[in-house]
Amino acid sequence: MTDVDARMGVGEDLASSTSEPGQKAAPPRRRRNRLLSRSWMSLVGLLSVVVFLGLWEWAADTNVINPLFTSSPSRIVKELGNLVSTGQLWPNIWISGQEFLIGFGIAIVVAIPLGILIGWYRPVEAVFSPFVSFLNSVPRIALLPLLIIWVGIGIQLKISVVFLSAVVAILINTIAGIKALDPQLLTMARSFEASDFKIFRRIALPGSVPYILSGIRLGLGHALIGVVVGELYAANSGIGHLISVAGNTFQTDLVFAGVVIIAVFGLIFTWVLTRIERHFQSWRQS
Amino acid sequence: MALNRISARKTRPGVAVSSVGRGASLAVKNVCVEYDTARSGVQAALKDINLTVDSGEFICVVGTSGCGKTTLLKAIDGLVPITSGSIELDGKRITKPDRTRSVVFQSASLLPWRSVVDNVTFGLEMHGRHKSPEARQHVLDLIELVGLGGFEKSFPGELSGGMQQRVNLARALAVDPELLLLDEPFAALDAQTREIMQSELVKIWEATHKTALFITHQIDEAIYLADRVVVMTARPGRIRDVITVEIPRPRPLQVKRDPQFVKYVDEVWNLIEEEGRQAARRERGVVQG
Repeated sequence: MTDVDARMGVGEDLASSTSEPGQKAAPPRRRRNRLLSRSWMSLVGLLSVVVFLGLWEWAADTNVINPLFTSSPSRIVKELGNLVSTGQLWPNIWISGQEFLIGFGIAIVVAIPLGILIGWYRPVEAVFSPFVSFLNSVPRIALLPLLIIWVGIGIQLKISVVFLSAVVAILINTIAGIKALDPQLLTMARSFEASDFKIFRRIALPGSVPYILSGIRLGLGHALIGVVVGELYAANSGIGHLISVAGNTFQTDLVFAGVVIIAVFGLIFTWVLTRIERHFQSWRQS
Repeated sequence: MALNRISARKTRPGVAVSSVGRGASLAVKNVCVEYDTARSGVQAALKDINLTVDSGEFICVVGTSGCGKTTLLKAIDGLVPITSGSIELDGKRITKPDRTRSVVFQSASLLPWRSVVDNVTFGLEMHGRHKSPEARQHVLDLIELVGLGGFEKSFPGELSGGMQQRVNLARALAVDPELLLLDEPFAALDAQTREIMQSELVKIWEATHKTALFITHQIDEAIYLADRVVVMTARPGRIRDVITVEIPRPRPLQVKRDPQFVKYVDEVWNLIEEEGRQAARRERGVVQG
């Protein structure tokens, strides 16, 4: 997004500097226009959301649609307030958050080194690649019944599901990142007597960071699905469990409240990831 | 093969870059390099290479592409194992890369996520001697020397091809090698930039007293830079001849239009052309046979 904007900006600069070289007043106005257009975009986005919510609210209030089935923004907000006041919100978020963070954390810690090893050493690749392909082609959800037999329906189940969901995406991207390394850079490093470890640390790791981060971004989506599906399937607490119970007891408002909580979860993590990506890619910006 | 030696040059003007070791002398003796290829079995890339390079000398190696000149350079650096013979630097046998030699690569091979300073520091860092204030000052001096003062904080993506090669050169110089190996470093540059880089390279070489081995396929580049030009032939790579360039230094770029210079170019060209035709005949023979 920002990349595209920056490129468009450069294009504008070039175009106007060649077509109207004499105009001194042009640059500040152009910059303001760009800023305007950017904030204009988010303004329109915000507006469309507000209009959508307003229409929804109006349709539910006037019984154009039946709020028993569709709920309404005000009901969802009320339900969220309910969850807070009855003390249900935080314990459930805490449980789901734990499952997510532990499973996702283990996935990252396992997938990055393993991916580097698989991408780097042909024999390691030969050993692991059948399993990676297998896991990649099997929907991890299909393994749920097995996982229940192995670890029960406690928090370990969801951690395992989250782990399995996220690990493959990160692994595959890390492998691709290592394989895409410029062999010239490796020769260069060897010529300076770099040890294998230093090549890992100074070239392989930073060189594959963009790949690893997009793997983590993909894995994040898979992990969130893992949490919710794991809890829908077998759990006695957590946001997914909350949604499942609410659905079974026809509490549409509560279902929506749960969905909103998960969406906020996802948005926060995506935002954090974007910040991390920006930090690592600062050399690309200017 | 009788190799011409050049008489000791006049002392070069000192420049404010600390360079501890003077250039080392290189001795390549009966070196053969063979590759085991899947398709055509064992192929000789280099055969019976004999070459001595004096301390502080500038040698250029020219030859058609595929004649093994880059293999020779990599063997001297220790990146390619030799099948037989020996390579010695100041009498010490070379088996793997070490800090006495550094390579200026054909492609700039810079780490895109590192600034100019950090790229130039890379070699020192690999040797674990980048932390002292002297090392830092040394790096900054070299960046100044290669004409990149003011670009210390820039990233490779922000630099032109010529500037990237300057970083490449500074990185190789930073480890203070006794032998500088340059693998067609200017091949990808446009003609004007290339000429400027050539004359600046000579100045830097004169300032740092390194022994230099420069691979190129450009005859005029070789003659402009070199004390001696080594002409190689292909398949297997052998040394065809060694020509001593007796054009006095400093050599302004205009020297390239000098009749004496043109005569050297013709001499080398004839050797290469002959070799090219022979190779073509050989290939035809192989096809017909």
